[in-house]
Amino acid sequence: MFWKLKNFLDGFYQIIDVYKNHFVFLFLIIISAILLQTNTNPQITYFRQRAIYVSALIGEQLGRIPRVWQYEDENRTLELQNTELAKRNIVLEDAYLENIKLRQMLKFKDRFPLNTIPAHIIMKAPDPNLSTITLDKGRDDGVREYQNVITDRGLVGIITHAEDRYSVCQIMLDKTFRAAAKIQRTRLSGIVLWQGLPNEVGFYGVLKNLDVRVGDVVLTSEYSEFFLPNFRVGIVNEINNEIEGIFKNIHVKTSVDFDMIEDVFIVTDTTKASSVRIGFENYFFGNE
Amino acid sequence: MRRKRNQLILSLTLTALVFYFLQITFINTFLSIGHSTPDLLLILTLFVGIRLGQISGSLFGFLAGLLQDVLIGFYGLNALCKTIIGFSVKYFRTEKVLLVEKYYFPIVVFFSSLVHSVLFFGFQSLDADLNFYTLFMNYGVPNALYSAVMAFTLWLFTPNAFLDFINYDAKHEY
Repeated sequence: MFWKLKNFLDGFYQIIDVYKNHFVFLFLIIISAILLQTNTNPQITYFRQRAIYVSALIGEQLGRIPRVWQYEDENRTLELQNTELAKRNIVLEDAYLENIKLRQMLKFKDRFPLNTIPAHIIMKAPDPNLSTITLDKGRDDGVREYQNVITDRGLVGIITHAEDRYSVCQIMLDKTFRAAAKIQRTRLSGIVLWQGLPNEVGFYGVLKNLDVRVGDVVLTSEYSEFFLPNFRVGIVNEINNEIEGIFKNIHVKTSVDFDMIEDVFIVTDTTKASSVRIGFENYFFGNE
Repeated sequence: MRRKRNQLILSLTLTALVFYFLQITFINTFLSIGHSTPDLLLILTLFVGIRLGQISGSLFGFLAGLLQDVLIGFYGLNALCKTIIGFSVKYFRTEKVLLVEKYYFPIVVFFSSLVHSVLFFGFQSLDADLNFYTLFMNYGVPNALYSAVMAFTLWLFTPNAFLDFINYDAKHEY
């Protein structure tokens, strides 16, 4: 142990002996510099200012080195903040769009002459045998079977089942769905039924020689047993006479986009008298 | 050997003090040519540096410079410059030129004095009111010339016994 210390000291003394001239010189230079610092001459002030400037400059450059790691942490924090802000932005955008939609629905509810209950779709079941949507309103809210379901665009379907807290609506895009309907322009009657295409129904029962044009608006008719008259169904977008039989093959694009639908109104009025008046169908926003 | 060292220190101290008082009384007053005056302590520092080595040269330069700093009220400046000169003069020393030291020494004094002026006036001109070039040309170069001449003169008048005496190798002490 001691011999190690002795060797170290011997080496140390040797270094001092070899470089003693330089050590003495350095010591004297330091003493001179300290003495210079005691002066208040303008030269010293100038020198001091420059020394501070240079040391600050060097310090600034050297200070960047540890900041590289600091930047890494900062970047990570900023990325997290960015993600958080992006999430918040999405929420705000959703809220903005929902706000627009709800305002639109509110306006519709205010001007629509029939009593309605706004409802939110809590589940969609696009089963080809029975396409339904489940709504968050039930018997407790006044919902009953066979009440019509609409949006500000037009007809959605009919309530087929009502529980206390929720209800089930059969939509138009269901193979068992049938509704008596008419062409707004000519008052030609027919039956609306689903033919298996998305957002499209067929208008069946119009003779080939009768006047139906692309762009005609299709409404529910007074002949319907379950639907109130003059609810907008959709617009004729294709007519085909080149089929067997005596009736036209008419394709109607539904007013309601069933892929985007989120909120609906349940019409609690069941008397047909309220919706038979002229111009009732104009309460719906058209998509033509 | 230790006795010789003490004698050496004493003789150099006395010489330095004599030179110092000569400088501030006689040289600066009567021997100045224009603004030029020889720097006796610088000459002595160079002599000590060449003869006795770097440690002695830098220590002597430091102390001599400190004495001069008292006069100008700028503590540390002359000490710093003369320390550097006393240390670096060793690099002028070669075996060949020592044979003609009488002529060689003034040349060393001239160039070292120029270096001293660069350091001294360089520091002085850090103040914006003083221009380094003006100071160097008006004071530095003439002083260096005058110091070189004075060094040669002093060498001529210095007794050989003294010159031989200031030839002590400090390494023998350690």
